[in-house]
Amino acid sequence: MRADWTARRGEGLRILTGDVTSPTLMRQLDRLRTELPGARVHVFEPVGRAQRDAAMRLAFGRDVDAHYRLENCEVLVAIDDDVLGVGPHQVAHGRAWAQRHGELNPRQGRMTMHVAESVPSLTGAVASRRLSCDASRLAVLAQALAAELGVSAAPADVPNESERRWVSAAAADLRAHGGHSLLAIGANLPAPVQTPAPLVNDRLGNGGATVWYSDPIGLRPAEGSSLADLAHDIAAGAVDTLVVIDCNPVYAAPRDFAFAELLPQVRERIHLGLYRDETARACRWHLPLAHALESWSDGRAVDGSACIIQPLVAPLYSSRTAHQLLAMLLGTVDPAAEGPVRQTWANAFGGDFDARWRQSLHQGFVADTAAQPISVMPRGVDIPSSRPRDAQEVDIVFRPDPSVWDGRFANVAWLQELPKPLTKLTWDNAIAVSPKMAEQMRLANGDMIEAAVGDRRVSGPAWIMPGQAPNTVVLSLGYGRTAAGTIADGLGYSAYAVREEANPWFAAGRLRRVAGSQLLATTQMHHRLEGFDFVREVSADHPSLPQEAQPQPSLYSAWPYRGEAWAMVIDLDLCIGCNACISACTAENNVAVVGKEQVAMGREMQWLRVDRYQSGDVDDPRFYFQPVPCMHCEKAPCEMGCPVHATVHSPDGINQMVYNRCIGTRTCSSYCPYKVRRFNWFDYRAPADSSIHAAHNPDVTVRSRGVMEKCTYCTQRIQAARVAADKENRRIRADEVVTACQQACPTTAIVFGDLNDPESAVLKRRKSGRHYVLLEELGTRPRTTYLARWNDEPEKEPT
Amino acid sequence: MSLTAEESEHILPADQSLGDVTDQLARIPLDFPTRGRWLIALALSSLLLLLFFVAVTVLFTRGVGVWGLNIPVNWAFAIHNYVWWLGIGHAGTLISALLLLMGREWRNSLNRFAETMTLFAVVCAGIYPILHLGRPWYVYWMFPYPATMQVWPQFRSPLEWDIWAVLTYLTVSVMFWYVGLVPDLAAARDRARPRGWRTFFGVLSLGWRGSAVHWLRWQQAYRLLAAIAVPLVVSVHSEVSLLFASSQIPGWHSTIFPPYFVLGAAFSGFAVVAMIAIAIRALFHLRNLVTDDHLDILGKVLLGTGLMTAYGYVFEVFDALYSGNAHDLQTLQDRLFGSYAWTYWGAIIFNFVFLQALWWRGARRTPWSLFLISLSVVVGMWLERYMILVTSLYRDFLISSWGSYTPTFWDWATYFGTIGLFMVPFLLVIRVFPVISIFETKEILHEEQAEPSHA
Repeated sequence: MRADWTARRGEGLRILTGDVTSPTLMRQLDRLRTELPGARVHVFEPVGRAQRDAAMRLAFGRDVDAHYRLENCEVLVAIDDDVLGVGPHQVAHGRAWAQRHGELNPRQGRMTMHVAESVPSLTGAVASRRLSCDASRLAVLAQALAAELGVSAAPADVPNESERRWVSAAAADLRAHGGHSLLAIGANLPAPVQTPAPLVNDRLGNGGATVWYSDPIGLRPAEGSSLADLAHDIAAGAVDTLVVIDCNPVYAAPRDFAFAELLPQVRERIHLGLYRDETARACRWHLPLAHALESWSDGRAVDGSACIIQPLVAPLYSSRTAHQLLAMLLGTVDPAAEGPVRQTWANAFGGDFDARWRQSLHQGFVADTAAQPISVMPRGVDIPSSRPRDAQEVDIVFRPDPSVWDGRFANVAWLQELPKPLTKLTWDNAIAVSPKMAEQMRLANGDMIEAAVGDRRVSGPAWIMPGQAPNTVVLSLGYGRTAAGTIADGLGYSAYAVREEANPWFAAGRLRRVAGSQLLATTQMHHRLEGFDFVREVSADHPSLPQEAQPQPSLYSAWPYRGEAWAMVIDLDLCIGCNACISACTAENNVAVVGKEQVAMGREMQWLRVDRYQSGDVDDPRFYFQPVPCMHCEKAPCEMGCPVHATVHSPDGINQMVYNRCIGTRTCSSYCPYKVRRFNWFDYRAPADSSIHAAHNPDVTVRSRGVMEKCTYCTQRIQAARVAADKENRRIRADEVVTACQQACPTTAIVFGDLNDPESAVLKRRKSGRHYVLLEELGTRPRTTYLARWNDEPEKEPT
Repeated sequence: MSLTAEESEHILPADQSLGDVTDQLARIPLDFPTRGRWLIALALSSLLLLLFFVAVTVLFTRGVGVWGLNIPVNWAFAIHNYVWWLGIGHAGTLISALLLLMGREWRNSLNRFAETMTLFAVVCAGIYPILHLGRPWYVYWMFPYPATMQVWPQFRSPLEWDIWAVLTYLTVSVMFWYVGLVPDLAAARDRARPRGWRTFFGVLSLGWRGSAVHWLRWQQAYRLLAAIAVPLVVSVHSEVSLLFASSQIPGWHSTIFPPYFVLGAAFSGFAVVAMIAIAIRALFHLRNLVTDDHLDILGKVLLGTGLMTAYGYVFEVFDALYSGNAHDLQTLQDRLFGSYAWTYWGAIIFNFVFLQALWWRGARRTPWSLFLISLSVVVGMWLERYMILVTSLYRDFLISSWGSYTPTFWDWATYFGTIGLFMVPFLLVIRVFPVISIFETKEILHEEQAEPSHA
């Protein structure tokens, strides 16, 4: 095959991959193009950044990446930009954002957030001022804001009253905090609509402070290397061999060009991927790809830092990495997995290779490889006025799924069972509609509706999303897989069926009700706070909650906690509902996945849940997130109920579950006021010969049928710390024990430690004026407590 | 109540001899009268019992997940039917023991089958706490046996108290029932012809010869057991109510629960006694022994306990309103208007609305009307227990954990199965033992004949 390509200098050879940031892969692709100049590399990323790249080119005349520094932001104005939402930036943004929240009160430079969006997002959920605005109006809003700040002409379309109010408040705030403010406009909006952001930020002196620019990180596809170009070339008969590297165009390609029908016209089709997916089935060869945890590779973080990926385990199956495949294409026979990566860095490190290589592996990243700020000047761009909408049409927006993204993670059961942050839906995607639209169409959750764009249509169950703009409909990507594997096949609908190449994130379409309804499995059935004070709030005027001087009396005598007294404090002002804690807990504690039917019955097993409430107007509600692990009550009702001592208290104040003593009366769960306990209704253990066992944490018991389980405060980590401390003959250090949820939390919302240690972070938080106890009136004296959220929403003006 | 007036009148028709009574009652097991109907009833009950075994097999093989339980409603049908059966199992001992001690002799026609009913109802109840365990094979961990690990049960747990309360109740009920049966077993022995029957009754009657010393000892034993049994009637259901009242769950956490449960239990128990009395009296043509007067008294007792239970309802509502606690009010609202409001209003209608007909003498003395009203009470009390379990749990404190509950096929199969588990042994017992206490009936007949009628 190689001889054939060499003879033809690569003519007819095409390689298709997703976004590439790996220096090694980029080096290999470069070499391939040098050796076989006729070969072409195409890049297809379903949730790509094409619009942002185009916007940067418009604004700066060259390829530039924009980076936010939220830690410097006193005012953030986001137009459909979910800076805290799912994506590669989430962790970095979350951590930076948290520095402007938590203990900082609104008068001490706490970040004020103005968010305008058509679809409720994690950023919108924590905003001080949120405007719910139809997707087709966002361009008008961006232009109006630019005009207000004097960098653009006024939009042709006049903003309405609420839009105008939001714009003037946002503009005033931006201007008042010049140098400490940031205008962010969503990367999925049309390129011209995004261009006011660099201009405004430049005008306000935010450049370098809250936003900086760098040369592009990762591979920027050259002209003519999109999937559309590939499709065109296939149709023209110019493609003889196609190598697809970990990419699934048959499932995810826009429907403009029928990629699935075109593909068979290629003579030699080779697919390298983790799964024998839709594309693999359409290819002549499927090559099993090694998983990232089994691979040597590298990549770049969002700030450009290069990271070297090293395997955690030897490959479980006979598989190869993308680098090995490329090396083979380049002529090496059976290359070592490590080889190509070492070679890349051998070139970069030069003489001092061994020391720097070892240091980089140890650190997890290569020192001093972060992108450097560059100085660029934005220029003004005319924003074309948007086409006025037909009164019959609705704004259809596409969103990656918060759990399974573009569909690549669809076969991961952990992610399927992870409740989506704002809907608490599992195992499905739905067509989200606004409460107004649901009322007009008389829809209930689960009723089937059909969205049509042009002559293409897709139907799915309706989901009523409070806070969604009235005329906006959301289709989530990532579902409707047909060859993903046993877990994902047949779940949900595929929004790709109506997605178009030209505008992948927005479409004007129609919606109609069709017969039938579908069961949707949610982990929270009721969403309104109903006036209860489970989530408490403080404001600049009332920065402290009334604190109880004495705990409620108890019949049982107080227990002296002489050693450690473990406790957790969760700052609700920092929680962005991202679900990282739940995922971490699931992985750490071998939590079982139970499937859609069981979740629908209310039998999900996650030890930690993030409760999500809404209050106020359904069209513009306030959102709240509240992570709820076990409260580890000092006066635990569950312990009193158990007839066999299966749930008992440890001397350091942990409410323990003794699995092998549990007979499954479920009294503990009946008595638990927080309903944090989970029961093994069936035998959820993996079959004896299953590879799932390899994924289990060996320090945590896998629970059998008929026993209760719940959050243990990661007792295995506490024990490990105790062993380490005992060996060194010392006490456990303050904040030495880090629970899985705490470790994963990007915003440091969760703090865990020893209340008896005066240095511990948890004690400091307990002394905060915002500290409160969930259901304190019950006298359970929980060890898990909360810090109230700041409410810096302006008084709602009468509308 | 007007029992005093009732008492002074004759409860049994005077125109029958003592020998006739013995013949009539002891004949039933020896020369069974309604073989056909009994066989049909036994066949149907056996089918239910078969269903029970199938349901339990499925349950034990696959796990409690075959029921509709979830978090938050992790107790439902099993505990609900446990309370319901145990409630039914109350009337037997109450009628026998309490009324014996109080000298209410009209009970003598009813006590035997009421006690029998108690035994099997308690068995049905007792099986549920085992079935509902996640790991039923470890049920013995609830007993304080000398375990090698030296772990004991947890004595603060109401479930632990429950084990003892139910077992004590069952033991005392069995003893009370058996001791009461001994003189009749001797009577049956004396009248039995076939050798098998004679041996059977002979062994069971423990050599009873009816001597004065026997009677003296018997009286002491019987009354002593009665004196032990009566407080148990109160304690067992009070204890069951603590299963709920010890928690903090709104709708459970209430001091009214113990009396409320005891009265409700007696209420449902009397309803079942009335139903069985009517059925047996029709089946075995015992109109002369279970008279309309008996039905009249049962009707009055039913009305009385029903009104007391209704008082519990009123106070439950008052409690919630008076507390002003937001969670209690929420639960009250869920009960009255929530998705399970049908259980609340169903309980009200079946328990108390139809019951009001018992104010009329005619309704009390007409077998079919008393039967239907009793049936309605049994249904009503079943709904009440469902309501107490599910409406409290499905929406407890945190809104985020609100859920719902729907019983599955296996929930129903297990429940109907326990009806078979009740009926089959009950039918077998009325086949082999005298259904009505012979000597006690004769005793009251004799006393009534000895004194001149007031009528």
